[in-house]
Amino acid sequence: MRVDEYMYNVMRCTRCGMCRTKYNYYIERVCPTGEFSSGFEYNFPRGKVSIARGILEGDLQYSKELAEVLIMCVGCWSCMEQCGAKDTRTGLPLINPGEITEAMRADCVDLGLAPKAYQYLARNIENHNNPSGEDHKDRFKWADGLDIPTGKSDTILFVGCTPAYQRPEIAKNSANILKAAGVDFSILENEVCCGFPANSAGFINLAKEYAEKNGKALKDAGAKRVVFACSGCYRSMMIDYPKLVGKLPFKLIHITELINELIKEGKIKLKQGINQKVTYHDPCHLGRHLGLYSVPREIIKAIPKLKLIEMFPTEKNSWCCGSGGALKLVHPGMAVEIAGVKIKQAEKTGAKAIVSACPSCKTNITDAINKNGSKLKFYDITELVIKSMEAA
Amino acid sequence: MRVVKEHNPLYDSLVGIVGSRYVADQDFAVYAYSRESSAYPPEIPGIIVRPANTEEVSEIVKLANQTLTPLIPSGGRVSIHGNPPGVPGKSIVVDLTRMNKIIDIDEESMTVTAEAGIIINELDTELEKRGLHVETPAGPSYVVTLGGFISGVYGGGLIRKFSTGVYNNHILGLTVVLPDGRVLQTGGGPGRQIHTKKTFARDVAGPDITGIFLGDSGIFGIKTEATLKITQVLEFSKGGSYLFDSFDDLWRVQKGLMKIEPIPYYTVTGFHPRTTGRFCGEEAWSLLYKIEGNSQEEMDLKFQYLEKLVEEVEGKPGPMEMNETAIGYWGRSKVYGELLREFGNFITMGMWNWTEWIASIEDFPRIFLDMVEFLDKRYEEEGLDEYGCIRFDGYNPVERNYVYASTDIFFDDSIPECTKKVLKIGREFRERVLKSGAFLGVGAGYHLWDTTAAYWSPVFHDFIRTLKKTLDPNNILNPGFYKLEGGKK
Repeated sequence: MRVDEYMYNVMRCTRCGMCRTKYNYYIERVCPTGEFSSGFEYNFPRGKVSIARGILEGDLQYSKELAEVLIMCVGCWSCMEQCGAKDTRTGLPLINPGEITEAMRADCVDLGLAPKAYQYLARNIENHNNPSGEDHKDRFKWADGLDIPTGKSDTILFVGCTPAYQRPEIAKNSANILKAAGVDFSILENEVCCGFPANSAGFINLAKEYAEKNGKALKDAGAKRVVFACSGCYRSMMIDYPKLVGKLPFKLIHITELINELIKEGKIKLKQGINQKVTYHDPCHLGRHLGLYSVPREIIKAIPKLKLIEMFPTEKNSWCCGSGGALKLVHPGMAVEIAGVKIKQAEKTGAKAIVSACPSCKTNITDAINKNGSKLKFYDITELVIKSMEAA
Repeated sequence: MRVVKEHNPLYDSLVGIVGSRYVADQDFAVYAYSRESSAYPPEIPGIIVRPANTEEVSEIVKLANQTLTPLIPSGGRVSIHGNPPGVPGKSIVVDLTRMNKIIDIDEESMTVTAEAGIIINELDTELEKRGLHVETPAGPSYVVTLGGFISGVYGGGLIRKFSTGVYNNHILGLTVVLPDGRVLQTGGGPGRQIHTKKTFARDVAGPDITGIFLGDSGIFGIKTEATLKITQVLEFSKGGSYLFDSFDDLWRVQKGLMKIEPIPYYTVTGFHPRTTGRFCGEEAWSLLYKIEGNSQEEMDLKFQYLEKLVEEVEGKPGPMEMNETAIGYWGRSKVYGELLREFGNFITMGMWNWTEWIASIEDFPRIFLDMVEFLDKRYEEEGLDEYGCIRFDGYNPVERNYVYASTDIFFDDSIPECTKKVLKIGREFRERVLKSGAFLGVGAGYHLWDTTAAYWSPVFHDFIRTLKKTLDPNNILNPGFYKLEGGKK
């Protein structure tokens, strides 16, 4: 979407500031990039919405400098959550500065003002079908020796670029859990980037092209249900695809949702105890974007001896890990600084490990653990399930 | 050919003071500071600077004097009646939010000293971890900074606990960068008595210099630190509501409470039936109360006074929605913030035109009822209901001396005709308030004070102008405020 499509929303922002400062006991800080930047208004959601208004009213024009500033949003939607104002026409959130920022990025792309880092990301998708420029032929290297079918199936495991290249253990664990639970599934031989990074960076046409490619591949594979190992891909197909190519005619489900179903059906039995105190980090894409808070917690609680201690803040008020919106690519130092806050929050709980369900969160939080010399461990939730499970 | 935009002429000098990270002059950067939380037109500054300490503020002020550049101090940016314009395109906005540290919490003397850029809610939250409390404004405490509160640009004067009075009696001393760059420390502390180590009292033994800077809208100096009285958090509290058949019944209860010594309530807010209806669906005059105490017994005893007065006029307990509002709305930071979030039926409407005014006990009923009638009439004439505008009419006795009233219009700022009409009615309303003998008080901003200053007595106006001219001969700080004519432009 372009910013003029948000006119109704932008014009209704009162600039009250709820989106930029702590206002209650349930949250520490609202905007990760605002807090770790130079702190000018334009670094915060309120300032970005003001800028959008300036653009819409013709008082401001896009520039390369502004396009660089627009990178400074991780798309965590914490600001939208704290704003709380509702669109009286739809009952949906009235102002989502994250989406408005993405729309301004799209305008910048249209005007040839996209930042170099975003151009690099888009070129990688175009040339290699993934945002980090990995060789496409290595996309299923993680599956070597696992004997995972690639033909037609009702259930398709959509792996995603980050698990495929950077976090192969999440791809492997996801596939192994499905296999062990007796789920008949296959992976897409022609799986490509879901398009989320392109869409977030403002390359709408590219995102659309990739949404079409995946939609067709899934259709050709006979999918009735698509299971996601990556929270970003899941979020993309749930939220972005309906706007880009229309709602997909398949059931879309995150791996944690399927695991939870399989546990309840007795197809996954968690017998092996894990005697540890852990805390759960809500990935923004699963939590604030899709409202998936209880499912991962139910899984953690189902693992014998594993004790969940909640962090403060948590769920809808959770602090983002800092890797979203391609910030990890463009400003890796800032991304790790943001995750450093999460480390402190987790350490305060007395837990020995952080558990989450997002490959990007895993990478960035692990980097922050190392940078901060923390003794915390990080587990993707599939890793704990594998450790504990015994197939029925 | 790529056009390279030149920096503001003061860019390098300001970078020399605070470093390049904290100076911004790009068009989008200054635009983001052009509006605060109101529908007034944008006022675009020339450059923004974010100092880290009093010394840097002092250097910035000196630079402004050398170059005759206006300075606009900025905090939480919710003045709700427009930005001071300074000289559009030229002014330096001094964004003080980087100065947000708590300097000292003195649990012996029961004082806290903090930098002016701290958000009051955050200060209160930190204190509450130690069982302590600092007065916070009734307005959006989640974003109002200490400096903005003190200066009266938002919430100056009015604190949330109406029972204990207003006008910043809890502010003991300030560190102020004067318009010539010198740093003054007011209050009973080292600024007044060179052998004293800490500020522990208001301006003892001499004139109350602190008071000059309270509610000054930033024209006499930039506040960089403040020392405030703190209190213990009262552990016991009770909130609720009552509904009444008439304004007279409600007013009788409130007046009765005001006469008791000590005042038994934390707050007792009255609402017009239309506003009550928005809270709970039932249109009646209503009273929200909040009572606090050191023990259950103390609180119950205070409550008995209220109950007795309510029984005399046959008021009835309000519904659950009202009670929840009472507990939250005037509660401490945590509940208040959460309630504001649920305040969607007002906020979702969009922009607000907020007018807060103060009248004597004697004049209040007459003025309040006249104002409601006036607004009803003007609403109808201008067809504001057709735009879906929402009214909010409430008031609160302050200690035993006067009443603070708030009449607000929530409207759709995206409809220019609607905005124009609301701003017009708002102006008419404020003129009428002033002509009725009341004051426009809190929730201030440029346009509100402008109206107020027009009703100053000639001697008062001349006194303020003389003071401004003496302190700020170059008219550097917030020029144009109050339409004072002194100083070089």
